[in-house]
Amino acid sequence: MLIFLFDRGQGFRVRKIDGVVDFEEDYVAELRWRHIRGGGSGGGGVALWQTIKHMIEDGCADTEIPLPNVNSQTLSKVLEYCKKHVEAAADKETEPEDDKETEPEDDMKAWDTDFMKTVADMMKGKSPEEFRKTFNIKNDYTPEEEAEVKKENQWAFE
Amino acid sequence: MAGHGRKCQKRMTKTDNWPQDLLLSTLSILPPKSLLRFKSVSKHWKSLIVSPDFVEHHLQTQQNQEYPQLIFVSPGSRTDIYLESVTVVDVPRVEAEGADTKSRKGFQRSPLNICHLPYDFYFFSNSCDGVFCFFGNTNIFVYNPGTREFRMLQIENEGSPIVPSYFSSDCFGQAFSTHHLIGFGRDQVTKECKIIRIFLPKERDEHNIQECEVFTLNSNTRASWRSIGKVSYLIGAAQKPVNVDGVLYWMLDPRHANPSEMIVSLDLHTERFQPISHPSCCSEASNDLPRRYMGLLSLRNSLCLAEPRRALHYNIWIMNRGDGIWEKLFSIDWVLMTYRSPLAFPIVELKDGTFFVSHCGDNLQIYYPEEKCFSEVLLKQGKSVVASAYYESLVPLYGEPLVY
Repeated sequence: MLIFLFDRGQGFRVRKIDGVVDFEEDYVAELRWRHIRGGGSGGGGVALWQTIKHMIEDGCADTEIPLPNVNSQTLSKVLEYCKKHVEAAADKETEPEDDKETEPEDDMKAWDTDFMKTVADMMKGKSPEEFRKTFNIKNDYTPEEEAEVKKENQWAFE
Repeated sequence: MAGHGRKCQKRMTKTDNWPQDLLLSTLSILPPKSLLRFKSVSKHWKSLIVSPDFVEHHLQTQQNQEYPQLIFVSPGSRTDIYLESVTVVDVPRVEAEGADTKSRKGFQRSPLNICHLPYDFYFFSNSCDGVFCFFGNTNIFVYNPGTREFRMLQIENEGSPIVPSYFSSDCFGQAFSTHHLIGFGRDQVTKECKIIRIFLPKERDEHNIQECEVFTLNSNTRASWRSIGKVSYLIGAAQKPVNVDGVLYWMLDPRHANPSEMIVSLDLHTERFQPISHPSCCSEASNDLPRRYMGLLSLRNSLCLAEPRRALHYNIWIMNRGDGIWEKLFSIDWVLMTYRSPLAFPIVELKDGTFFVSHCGDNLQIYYPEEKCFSEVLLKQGKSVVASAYYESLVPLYGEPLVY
């Protein structure tokens, strides 16, 4: 299965296509689904990636999936991540046991580390509110509980 | 399609199906300050951040960072301690410098003073996993500068000074109280922090047998000191222990009954003292090169020993963790010493095999062991301080946040 992401000027859209993709002008990336480990990435990308995955599994993506509230920076990072993993998986397929000179696993690890660093930098200065929004997390504290937790760690908000 | 839409909406609000390993690895890169803030994101996030597994994962990730944080400690008045934390940061280069890289390494300094302590005379003992331990004659406190958590303990069982003089300095020239010996570390099995106190009981006999007691820092707020009995090794006064992997090490006093035993270890889990091997230089030490000028330190997560030589340098010995065999690691020049007190010796080894050293407890420099030379002065303190390196951690002390 191949997924197709493109920009229609009003946010990104994703389309699931079986078979071969023509390289159109607004082509962003192609992804081979089964190679992507756990379907995850990080940061805003985790939520986005999961969203896409579930939409496709649920059959929402028969035609097009609108992806509002996704900026190009996040998306390009997610795509970069996916592409990297797809390439590594493809390399593994073509050269199965020849890992004497290049070690795709190590290379992949290094790339993941770098990727996580980038995402961590994006998270670092966020407020809990921004963090919830980015990761689509529901606040299950009562206002009193939340005030209490914030009070315990007051200096971290300064 | 509308039905699908609702289903999709439901899935989108679910957060427990994120790839946990990747998320945890990403979070473990973050400094404790960000994580303390994220504890108020949701209940699930709070429990995740305080979970023992995450605390360890975070610590390991932080320890792999290129540079540790540095802390400079200078005693203030008897109720205040001046701390300064120093972080290595990238500083953008100005064009005039004409270098090819866009940034250079610089330091970001921030004060972390601890004030309004109970009146006492405080000394910095040692640090472990991002937590610092200080002690006075009747008060001991631990502090985690990463989380700003603080916990004060009182000594219940007063003893008599280990040696008659009130102060003494260790082999690195650092002044210490001779009232008792305090050590701090983490039990590597339970992951609990423990404070060790070695003292002479008030009703001592002529043999000066030391006793040892432990305070475990766990959620039990009614915890107290627990005696682990008499110590059958005479531990030298005025030294801080060296902590390697949940084991504390001290040099034994030259008056110790068995002269072939020179270093003793205390496993923080089993709480048992045991003599360990020592490098050949210890047995060769003659009268004019007394053993008290030798000191223990920790490098490469191994126990090391600094041996002063008359030929203007120090030899650094390292113990192989597997077989306990000591070998010479390198030697460092006498240049670092002032008034024959080698306060300077390594604060920490960096990932590239060089060392951050503080010259006379004042100037921070990098030492290149291969070339046997020093970098320019990177940081000037202007006063004598005790320097230490650490990696920020979430290690809990079950205390209170320190209010500045």
